Amino acid sequence: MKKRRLFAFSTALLMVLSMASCNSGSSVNSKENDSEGQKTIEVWSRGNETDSHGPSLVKAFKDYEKENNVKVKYQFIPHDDAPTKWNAAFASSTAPDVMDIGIVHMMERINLKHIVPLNDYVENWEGKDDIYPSMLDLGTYKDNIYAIAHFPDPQIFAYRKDKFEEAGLDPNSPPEDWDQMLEYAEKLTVKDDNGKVTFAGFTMPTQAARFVANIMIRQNGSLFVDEENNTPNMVTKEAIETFEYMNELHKYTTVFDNNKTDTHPLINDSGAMGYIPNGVLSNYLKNNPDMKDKFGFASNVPGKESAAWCGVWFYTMTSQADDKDLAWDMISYLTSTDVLTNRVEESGLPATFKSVSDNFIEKNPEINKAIMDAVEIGAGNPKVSWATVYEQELDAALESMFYGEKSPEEALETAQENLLKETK
Amino acid sequence: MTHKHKTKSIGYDKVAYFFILPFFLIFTYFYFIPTFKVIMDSFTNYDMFTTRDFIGLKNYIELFKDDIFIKSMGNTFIYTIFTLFPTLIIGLLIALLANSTIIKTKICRTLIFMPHVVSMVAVSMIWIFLYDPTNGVFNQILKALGLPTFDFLMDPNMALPCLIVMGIWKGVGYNMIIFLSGLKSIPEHYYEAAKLDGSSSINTFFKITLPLLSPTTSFLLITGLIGSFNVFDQVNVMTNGGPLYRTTTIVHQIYTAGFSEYKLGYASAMSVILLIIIVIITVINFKLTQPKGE
Repeated sequence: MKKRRLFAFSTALLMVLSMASCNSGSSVNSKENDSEGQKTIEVWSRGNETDSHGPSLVKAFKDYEKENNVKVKYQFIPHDDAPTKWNAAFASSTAPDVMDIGIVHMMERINLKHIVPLNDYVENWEGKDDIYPSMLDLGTYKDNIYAIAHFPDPQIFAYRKDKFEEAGLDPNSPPEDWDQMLEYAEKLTVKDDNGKVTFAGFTMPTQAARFVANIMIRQNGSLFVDEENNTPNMVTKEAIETFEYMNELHKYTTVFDNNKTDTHPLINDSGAMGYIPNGVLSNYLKNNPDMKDKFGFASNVPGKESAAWCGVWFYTMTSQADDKDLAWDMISYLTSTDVLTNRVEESGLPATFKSVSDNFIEKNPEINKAIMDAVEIGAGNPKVSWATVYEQELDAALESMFYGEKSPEEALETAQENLLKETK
Repeated sequence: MTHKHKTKSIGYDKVAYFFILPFFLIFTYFYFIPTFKVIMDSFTNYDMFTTRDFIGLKNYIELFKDDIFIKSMGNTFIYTIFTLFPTLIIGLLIALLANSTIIKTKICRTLIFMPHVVSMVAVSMIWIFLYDPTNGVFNQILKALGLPTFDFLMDPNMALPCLIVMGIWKGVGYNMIIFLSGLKSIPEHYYEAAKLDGSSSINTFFKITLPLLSPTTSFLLITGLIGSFNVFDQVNVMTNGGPLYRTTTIVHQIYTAGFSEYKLGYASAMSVILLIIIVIITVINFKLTQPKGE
């Protein structure tokens, strides 16, 4: 009798627990209107609430709630966890209405049909003429605008004025072109008795050098891909020249991995000039104010053309957004002049809109001018459906060249071959 | 009578089975079914969201033409051999020392065991700084001693050995503790008898200690083998498989194909290959370490 009761009790307990877990699952993800008819919108942003962009974003959400009588459910997701969280959300149909993604995520999210085109909304959007054309273009793929850029994160050219002076170079003039940069790099490099570079004349990453390659191929007037035909175009005269030039510069660097930005020689007192993400450098200078006067900045050192690599944060509307009009309203609110001006004032972060760039430059003219110049000429990764594999192959090609395993031409040929397999 | 007894025992078992049911439900749902799902997916072009078409053996054929996957298999074998055996040997030696009067202190054991408790990601972050070519502790020491410095993780010939050294450092403490518990379970009178017979320390170790530790060694060998074949965290954090794919491992390739390139079908085929390798090696290991006469 006792056992029967125990059995019945356990069965009941198991059923209650199962039902409770099912119930909590559905309520957590509900985006339906509440009993008072108040609409709800769900927004996900990368990073966390205490990051530099966090407080101003939270304030924007609160203001939006007040002004529009809409409940904003927001969530910050750590950068490294974001793709996993997105994948799980889309697989379980619990994706938010609006989500913030990076430039590296855009093509894969388009391929996976997680984000939708915004053309109809952008047509009548008042911010259309205010956003830098280069930034609007970064969110565009095959004539469809999938993402609205709001926070540019360009790599800028930085150099150490004090080291220039020590090497007998003009501390107020960065190199003017590729030839001069190579010449300066040689003069600024310090080697030990064994010929090993101990202070980099130019900071050329040995790993994840794709960022520099993407800048330099554009500066050399070409691209590694044919965007129109969605095919790789690695073995061209310009591409070989670019690789050869990068290989020359690599002789004057200490080894470092560009993915580990905290080991970048420019912020470790072991490099004289090079490209660096502006946020990394700005943070370093904020924490080391005594170094501020020792750095000079430029948007880029042009080759045949001027070009910069510009990372960017986008707002996108997801394919699972319940109320698309509301989702667009949120995106246009978050990219409005008022909200972005407030963000510039509070956090000192750059924006992708002309109307707020002056405010940003005023805050710290020397470095911020270089940042906004880089934004103006900034381009991202090539827009092809196999962008992730392109990045891997470009890194692998550069590594094999830097380590002397392959010549520039061989490295490019291997990459071309592998990418062709991918695009079949 | 027999029938009644049988019914009674089934009735009793029902309750017992009910209490272990949650475990089996979880096991079935989260382990058993996914294993079969992975095997099924390995014959498809599954990309996590849009397609899941049957493509036969295409993934497996591609795999054996994939230079990077073949390289990752080689790297995994090298990592396993050079991590597993040194960890076992050093773990046993430290356990012997900890079991003797030489370093028989709790503090010592705690310090040696500590790396095992710390998360691999945290440990990897610390070792990145130790190995840093410019400001890393190891190079600072070498510089101070007037010796040449190394690029460690950035050097294609040194990167994998660097991961192996860290793997050994992290695994030794766990092996030491398990060996120590094995040593404690050997009855003292065996050693007393050996002593009376005039057996030397080395002879006693090889004739008594080592044979009686064989269940412990077998356990550590199999779990260590599976652990080493699944090496991923340190690779992902410290080298991301580079330089020149010299540190990429099977699980790192599975992760890259599955979650960077969204080729879940292809990644599933890699997982199946890994499963087959581990099963084969485990079966061989069981056969070799099974006590004679069983």
